[in-house]
Amino acid sequence: MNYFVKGNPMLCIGCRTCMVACVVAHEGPSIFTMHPDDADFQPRIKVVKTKTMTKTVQCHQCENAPCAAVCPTGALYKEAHHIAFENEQCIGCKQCMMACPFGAITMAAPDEKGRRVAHKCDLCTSTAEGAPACVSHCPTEALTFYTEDVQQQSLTDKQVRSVRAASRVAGKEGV
Amino acid sequence: MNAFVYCDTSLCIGCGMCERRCIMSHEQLSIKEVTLDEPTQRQRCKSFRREDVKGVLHCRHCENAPCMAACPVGAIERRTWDEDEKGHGQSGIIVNEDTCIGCKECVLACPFGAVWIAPTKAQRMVATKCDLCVTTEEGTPACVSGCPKKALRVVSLR
Amino acid sequence: MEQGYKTVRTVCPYCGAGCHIALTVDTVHNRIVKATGANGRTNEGRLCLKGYYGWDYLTDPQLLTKRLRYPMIRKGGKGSPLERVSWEEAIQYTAERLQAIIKEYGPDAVMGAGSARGPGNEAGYITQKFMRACIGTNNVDHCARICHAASVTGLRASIGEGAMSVSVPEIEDAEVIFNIGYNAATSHPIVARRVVKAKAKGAKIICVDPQITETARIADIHLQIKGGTNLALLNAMAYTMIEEGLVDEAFVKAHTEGFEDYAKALGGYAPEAMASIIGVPAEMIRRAARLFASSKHTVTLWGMGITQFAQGVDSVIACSNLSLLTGNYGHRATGVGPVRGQNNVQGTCDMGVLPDVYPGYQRVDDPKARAKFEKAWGVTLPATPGLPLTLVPEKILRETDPKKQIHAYYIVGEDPAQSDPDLTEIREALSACDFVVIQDIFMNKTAEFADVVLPATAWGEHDAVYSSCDRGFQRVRKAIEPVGEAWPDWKIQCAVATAMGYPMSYTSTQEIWDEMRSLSPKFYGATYEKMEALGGVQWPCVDPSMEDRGTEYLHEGGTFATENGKGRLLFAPYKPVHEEVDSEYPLSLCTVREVGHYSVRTMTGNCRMLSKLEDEPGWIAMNPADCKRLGITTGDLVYVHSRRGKTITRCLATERAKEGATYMTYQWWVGACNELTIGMLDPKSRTPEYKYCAVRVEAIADQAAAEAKVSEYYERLRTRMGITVNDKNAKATAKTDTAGAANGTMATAHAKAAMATTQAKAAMATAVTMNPAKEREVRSL
Repeated sequence: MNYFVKGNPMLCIGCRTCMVACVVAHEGPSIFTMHPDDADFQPRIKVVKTKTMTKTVQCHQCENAPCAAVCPTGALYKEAHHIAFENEQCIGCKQCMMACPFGAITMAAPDEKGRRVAHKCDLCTSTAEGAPACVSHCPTEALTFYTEDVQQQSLTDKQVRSVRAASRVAGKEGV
Repeated sequence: MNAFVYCDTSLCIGCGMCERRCIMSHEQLSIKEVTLDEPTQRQRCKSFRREDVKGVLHCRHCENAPCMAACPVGAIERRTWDEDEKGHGQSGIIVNEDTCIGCKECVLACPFGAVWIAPTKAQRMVATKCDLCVTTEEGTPACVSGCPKKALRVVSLR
Repeated sequence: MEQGYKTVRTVCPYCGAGCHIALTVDTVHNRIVKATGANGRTNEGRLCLKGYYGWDYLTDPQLLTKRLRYPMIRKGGKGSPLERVSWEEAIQYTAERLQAIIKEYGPDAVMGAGSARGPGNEAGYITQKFMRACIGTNNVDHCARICHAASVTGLRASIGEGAMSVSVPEIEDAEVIFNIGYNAATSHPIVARRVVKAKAKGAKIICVDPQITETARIADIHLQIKGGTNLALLNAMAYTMIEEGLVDEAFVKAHTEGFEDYAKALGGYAPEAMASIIGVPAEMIRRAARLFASSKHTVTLWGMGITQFAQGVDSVIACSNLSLLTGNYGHRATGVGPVRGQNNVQGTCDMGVLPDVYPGYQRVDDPKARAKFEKAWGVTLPATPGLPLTLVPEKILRETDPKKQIHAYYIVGEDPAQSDPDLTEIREALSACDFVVIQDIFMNKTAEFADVVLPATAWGEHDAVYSSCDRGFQRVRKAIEPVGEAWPDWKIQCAVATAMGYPMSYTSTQEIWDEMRSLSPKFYGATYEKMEALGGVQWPCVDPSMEDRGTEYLHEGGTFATENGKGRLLFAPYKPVHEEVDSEYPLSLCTVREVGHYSVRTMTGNCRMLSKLEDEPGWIAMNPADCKRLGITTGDLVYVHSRRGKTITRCLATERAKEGATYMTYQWWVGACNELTIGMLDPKSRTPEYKYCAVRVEAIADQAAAEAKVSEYYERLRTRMGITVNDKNAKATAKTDTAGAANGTMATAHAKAAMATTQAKAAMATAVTMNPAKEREVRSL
């Protein structure tokens, strides 16, 4: 089962700390010493606001990921509990970006060689800390890192709670 | 109104027969071939036998299903089948497993924990939940007829 | 920890939440490399983006402006260039100029402004001591004047004490939160954390705001009032409580006075009579009043949305009235929270950087208090309260008696040419003032009017104590050596005082703190050692022994700080705002905050990541219907006009704004909204009515030319600030991410639109995944 990061709109305050944390985690500490114009700002998570909704949009690491299905070169593939991305294989065809129903994939700004490749959440596997920076930095703890254990626990909690609720009306007249 | 399977937990003994009958019906297996350890043998309900409560968790086939609203690709929809002369049919919230991308939005959306990801025989991880046995040969909920304590019944307008 | 690295524990320099931060410092290169959250009382290890990424201004990346590294004097007089001088020359010159002005016009010709930000409490104590004991005037004030002064004045009138009665951690244990004119999500993310936690624990939220703020969208009742009708609403809620028998009669009888007259005076404020003025249904007002009164754990939170109005003081009193009527004072998880904005604005009030009080809120016109300070400082002190800083322009530009004019303005760590209302007027005032001294960390717009510029140390470069919004004294520690020749603020003002013949000298901030403590009974028990041991101490703390650990909430048992211990139910009638919209200026403007930047942006505007997230010329948030009428869409540059002036900014179409209302943040230098705001003051607090004035938005046909103009203006501004601009670091003012447009650069507008729709749809769809089915209706796509 793939792991993924998810935001809770009841706790999200739209501050975008997650977006900055993502950039800093991926660029590394040199981002604060290099010339400001040389630093790229490309978060892989995005805060979206509608009239009454504020929450993050990021890759769901889908089990049958449409991005991986549509990729012609195999640059997107399942590995290490997420949909991994191999930069060298990417030809920048943009079909993954169009296929994703969440809008979670974007095309990165050109790198030093001028290549533009797909850009999405990698669960911080490529960062020094190795765990989702957005989750650890969110001031309201609105983001959760759903490992398989966390997914299973969440499921079981809901199921047991529901059965308990049902038992409160069981055997009663008219039910 | 959608139909759903209701469990009277005051009658339930937590034996889990409902889960086994579900698998038998969906996977076309005999009781001897059923093992709850094989992930591709997907039961669509979850039985609990705990000290303080015994009961089984089924999808409620909600009228305004959150799973259906949450699905980004429209893989969950309300379907109607078995219409009679008056045009009244049975309806429920059904997952189209071919369309499902396994994004787990429905899993998180469901407040009951009634839908989860499990592998098909072809090892495709898809949203899995009670479909009122519409995809089975019998066509009516196997768990209901299989419950030794008659704790389960189908609730529908018909 | 790696060789040459150390960890320094300190407190964030941005908002008043008082978050503890652990800084990782590279001592070899004298540089901070990282900030992480430390376990402080209010933040519990969490930080927002400013706490995490708001420290690299210390590396002087010169994005917006430049660190001041040495003293400067405008030797050729007004309008001539600033020239570098030695500290000795700068101090001597400042002392001589001030002495000459005092000799000719008297000490009250000098105005001093203290800083509510980086310098800290000790520096604030020195500022007011310098103005009172050395200069000889009570003309000392700070930016609380344009912010929560109404809260201090209003609460003092109501219950005798102007500070938050409830503490930040208690907010999450409230049963009902009454949130009026306050947007925690943009001003105090760590306080917003408590609000969302309260909601998750089952609390009900009443949100009063003309916009759909983050709090409004999770509120159980959102009163989307017309801007400026706070007092009408609060009086209508009080009316409801009395009419429907929701008053806590025992509490009112035992702990308040004035009920009879108050109830009578509210006669005309039935919700049905007020509904059309306020713009919400009467039944909704009644429901809000009932919900407020339903609990003894109702916490009221307010901010600029009620104080920055001409009826600010009256609205604060009206809020306090609701808590008095319902017994919501004097125990845990109840009471009032005027959530103080800046990291040390509470502290600057605590230190008496105010025209009418000494440190510890002892009045200057109280003979006993004055005698105490006279003895401690060895001078005779002025007996009458001084000038609030919002009256300075008037005293420079329109006062006819030269002896009553202000001839010198000594400003520490503040940028009135950015943050005061009606910027044209403040610029005129600064130009006309005989002698202006700026003591600051960065070159800024105010410094362009300075005759003397004195470089001070920034947060990170000095020790201090800050007071969090909820009265918590906390220690701030030096992490790196100062830049250039910068001195700590207190050291500078001590040197000027000494040069003027009133010797002031200290060897450490602790020495200053101990002197202040000895003169302020409310703070006497808050020693450096105690703050170190406990992580912080909330005042009142009167006993230095470890027995007294400070005070979590105020007015225990309903005993208030008034002379007879009773709260006062005071009535004021509602009056409409000063400048209503009309055919010439048909839209209203309200000033708001941006979460990723802070106040006048001299610090955050020079932080790499924060600037990448949001940059000039900022935005004007408007309802899509208004945008459509003007033919503008999100991202378009527009002019905004008011009777005071004009500015340029970008349109942000959002349904969170009501039709007819617009919102701008006050931190943008190019898109400066204070060019437009009105200097109309609350007569009781002297706070300007920032939150409502009339504007007109003008579409710009040639967008390409406008973009070029904005870029060019930004570059000129940076040059004025002393930055040498070359091709490489010319600023792009490209549209940043806020509006939901696609990340990265996408070729076609169509793809951009498609992406935005997809992401919004995803947000809507996946929103249901976290909401319990029984509470939320499911939205169809």
